[in-house]
Amino acid sequence: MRSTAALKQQSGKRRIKYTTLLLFVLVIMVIIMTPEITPQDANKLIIGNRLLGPSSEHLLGTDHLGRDLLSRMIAGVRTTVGTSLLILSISMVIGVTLGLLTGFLGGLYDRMFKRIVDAFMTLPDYIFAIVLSGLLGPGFLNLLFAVIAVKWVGYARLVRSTVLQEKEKDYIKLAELAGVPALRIVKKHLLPRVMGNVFVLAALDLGKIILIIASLSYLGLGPQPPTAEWGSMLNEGRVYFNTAPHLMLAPGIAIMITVLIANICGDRLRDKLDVRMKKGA
Amino acid sequence: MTHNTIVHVMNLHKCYSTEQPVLHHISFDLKKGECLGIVGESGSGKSTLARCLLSLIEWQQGQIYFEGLGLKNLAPKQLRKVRARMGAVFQNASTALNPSVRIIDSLMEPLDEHKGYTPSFLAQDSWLGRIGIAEKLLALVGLPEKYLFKYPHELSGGEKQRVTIARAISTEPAFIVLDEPTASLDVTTQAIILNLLKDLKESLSLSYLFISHDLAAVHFMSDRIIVMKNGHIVDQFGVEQIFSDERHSYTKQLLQVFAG
Repeated sequence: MRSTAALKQQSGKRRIKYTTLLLFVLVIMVIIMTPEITPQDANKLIIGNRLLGPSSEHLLGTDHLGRDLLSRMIAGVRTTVGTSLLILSISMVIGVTLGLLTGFLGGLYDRMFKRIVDAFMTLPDYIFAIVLSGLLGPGFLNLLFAVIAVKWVGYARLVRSTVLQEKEKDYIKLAELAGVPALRIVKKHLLPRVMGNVFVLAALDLGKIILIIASLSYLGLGPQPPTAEWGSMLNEGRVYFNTAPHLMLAPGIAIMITVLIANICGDRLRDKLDVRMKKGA
Repeated sequence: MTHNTIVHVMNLHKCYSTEQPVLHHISFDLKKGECLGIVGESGSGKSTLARCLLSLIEWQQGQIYFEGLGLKNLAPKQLRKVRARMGAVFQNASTALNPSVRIIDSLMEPLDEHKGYTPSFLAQDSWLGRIGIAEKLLALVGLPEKYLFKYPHELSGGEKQRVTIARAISTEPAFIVLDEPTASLDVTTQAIILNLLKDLKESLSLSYLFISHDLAAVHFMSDRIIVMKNGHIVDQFGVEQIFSDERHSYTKQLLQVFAG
């Protein structure tokens, strides 16, 4: 019979799991419905309202230009988390495609690809993204390009190594023997085998990407004003930290909670897929 | 090479790198309806030979003729046609089936690639659909139809091996490579699988290349035996001559080891 402490621990874990999932769904809903749920225009300047504290009209107060902070926070979800999801998706598509093809084809393509990936891997994520963004200049598209350039490599490397293991297995040889064309082998046999690992990596990566974007925006290398973005909002609020700390606290806490949600979801997904892999392998 | 020869291997030479060759100028014939056993210790080149015969790997010198057609540098389209006449059963049934694909899809993969083809041993049931054909194939290897929609991890090792055998005979091949098909199974299941393979060989007039390091299994299955060591054929003989005094010293050594 289980002890009360164990039951309590299990119920606590379940509560965290469902709360995290609920929050993740909430974040996605906010991204989708941003214009509908923003209480006021996120970019509307009312100089007379600058640096107001929380009130019934402005639940989180206003910033140094009199803009409603809650509206900017909601608009920032789409910019920060939405951009992160976009970067994640593009990095996944590039990494998975290149990893699958080079791993399966092998030979010269694979050797060349391995060298390129190794070269990318020697560069630390943050520093490379900052250097690239700095070279390209500030702006949304440049930020997108810089982070994708850093992130696709991890997926390509993971997929390539999985494909190299899988393609030596007998079921691939038997498919070849059965006359299944190479592309269909990749699509039918290899792609489903690599996607479990890719999703886990993606879920764990989401938090890191949010942090990179927020960091680059904080440095002024991300989307430019008046676009609401949590990193740039942190930077804008820095000057007023002593008089209006809510300007830094709101985006700071939002970044922290979102990264936490992404990491917990990633951990859960990894645990779940690991069990399935063990069963299926 | 006579008209009765299905596989003719001539002077086959294979190296994986510039180092020691894995196969040294191997030559032999396999006749229609015959089971040719290949024995040898690990690393003797048995599995490499099997993969060359199936054209899954390339080789440096020599030629392999399958039903009179040379396999070296064959155009992909022709190779595909030739491969439809070949089958294979490998040692580890667990890696021979994709763990994320249901049994029916693994089983029917070769036939799905040759759309419209129904094996002649099922041709009398011309109305059979995909599921019907899959059920009949499973029945041939003694498995119930309920296995069709299961995943490989829900089957035992012996059952998985039966599925790979059913898959191998699905396109009605003339020749099947059996690369240690019973090595990962327990003794009882080994006997069941060997009997099944022997029955299928008789009923479907198949030719086998049976690779094993288990001399008893090779003796039970084969009409002729080739003994390999370090990539060379050191001995070949009819199965009835296995205990003859003329045997190569290495064959005698293997027999002694096996006799315990």
